[in-house]
Amino acid sequence: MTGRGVIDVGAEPPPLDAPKRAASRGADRQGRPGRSKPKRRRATADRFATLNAFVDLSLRELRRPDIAVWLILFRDTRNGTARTGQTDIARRAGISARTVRRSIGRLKAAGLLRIVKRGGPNAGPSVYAVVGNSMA
Amino acid sequence: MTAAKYLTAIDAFDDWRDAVLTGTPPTLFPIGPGELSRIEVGPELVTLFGGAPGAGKTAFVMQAIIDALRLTPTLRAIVCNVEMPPGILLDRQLARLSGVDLTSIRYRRLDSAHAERIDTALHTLESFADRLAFVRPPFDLANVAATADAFDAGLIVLDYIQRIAPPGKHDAQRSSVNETMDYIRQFADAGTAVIVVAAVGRTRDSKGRSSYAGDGLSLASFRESSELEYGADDAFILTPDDDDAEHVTLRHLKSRHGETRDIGLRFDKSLQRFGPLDANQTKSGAKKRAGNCARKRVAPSALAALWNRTEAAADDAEGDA
Repeated sequence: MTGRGVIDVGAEPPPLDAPKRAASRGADRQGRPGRSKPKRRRATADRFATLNAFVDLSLRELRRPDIAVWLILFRDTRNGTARTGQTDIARRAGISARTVRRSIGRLKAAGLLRIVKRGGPNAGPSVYAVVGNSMA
Repeated sequence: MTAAKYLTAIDAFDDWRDAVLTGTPPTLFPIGPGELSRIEVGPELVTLFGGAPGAGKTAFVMQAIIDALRLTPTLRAIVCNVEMPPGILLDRQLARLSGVDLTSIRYRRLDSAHAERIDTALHTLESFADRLAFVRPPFDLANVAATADAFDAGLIVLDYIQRIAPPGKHDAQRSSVNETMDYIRQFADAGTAVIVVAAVGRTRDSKGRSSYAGDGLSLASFRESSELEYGADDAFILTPDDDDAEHVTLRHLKSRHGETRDIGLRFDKSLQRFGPLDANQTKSGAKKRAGNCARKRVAPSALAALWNRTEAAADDAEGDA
């Protein structure tokens, strides 16, 4: 299965075992105290790795509104995705909603942002996943 | 005096012989790979699927339609589902195509681990979205017919027939379903493929208990069954395996144009996905079914035996008298 390809009939991927759910279930069943601690540390380390890659490799190529948008989405990321409305991003970044939309387009084109789920009038805000470095 | 209307065999013979010799096969829309491709869905055919509540009727039929649209790029389909809105039906297809469990999709708990799969599955769904339409209320045949015309649909799906009203007033549910099926037959005769989902009633199992157990289900199990079983070209009932929650058998109870042949499937409920059985399951399932038949002294796949157990014949006999 490729990134934007179409899945052939009969070639649907096998079930994805959600790592988060599997880990927490395993911990409950085996009753190991403090099992979630290393996971949290790992998640924190992953967040720093993303931020470091962004600052070290991507920041200098970007315009200021793009940086603000990326940072807000990074700030709002929980479990790998951020679900923030464009109006909210605009308010917090001090820019217009139109500029936010342009920035999102540029970040997406640069490979620094992925749209996991597109929002809409009846679907709520889009879901984004930020990437620290497009070469990663 | 009523004028006699008939066609002599000699008149019919020329057209029929040409049709046989020119070798033009009937148009069929494959609904899946492997064994599933043997299920006949196509113009002028009514294909009936039944099953107990929770057996996976809607999941199976939606999988069939989506895969038919993927396999036949010119096909257009409408779905009249009286119980589930389009968003819920699409959630299920997203789970099936992405391999991400339905619970995560339903509660929108998606993260970066899901991103690529979700993106590809969405792209797959988008690839035929312009050829699929969902009928909105009122859920009656007039609206279904108008939608099929407006959308130029080659495939109509009715899920489920007992809840879809025909034109006019009907005091009894049975007469309502009979008339609905009569209209559906007319849709098919006009060149449309029709898939009908039907609820089934409880039957007595081998121990005399009232249940939805697979060994008790037959053509007579379709609720308000008389016209359903006569109007359909093929009739299937999904029966779960008592010993294996994932193993289901699509029992082929009627085939107007060929032999009946049951299909064993694996149903992954978390993904709402039907797939082929692996080799071990196929062997053990075949042994078990053979054992069941031997114990009950029932000839396997004997359509005649099933017809003998069908109560609907009595209704028609009364009508003729």
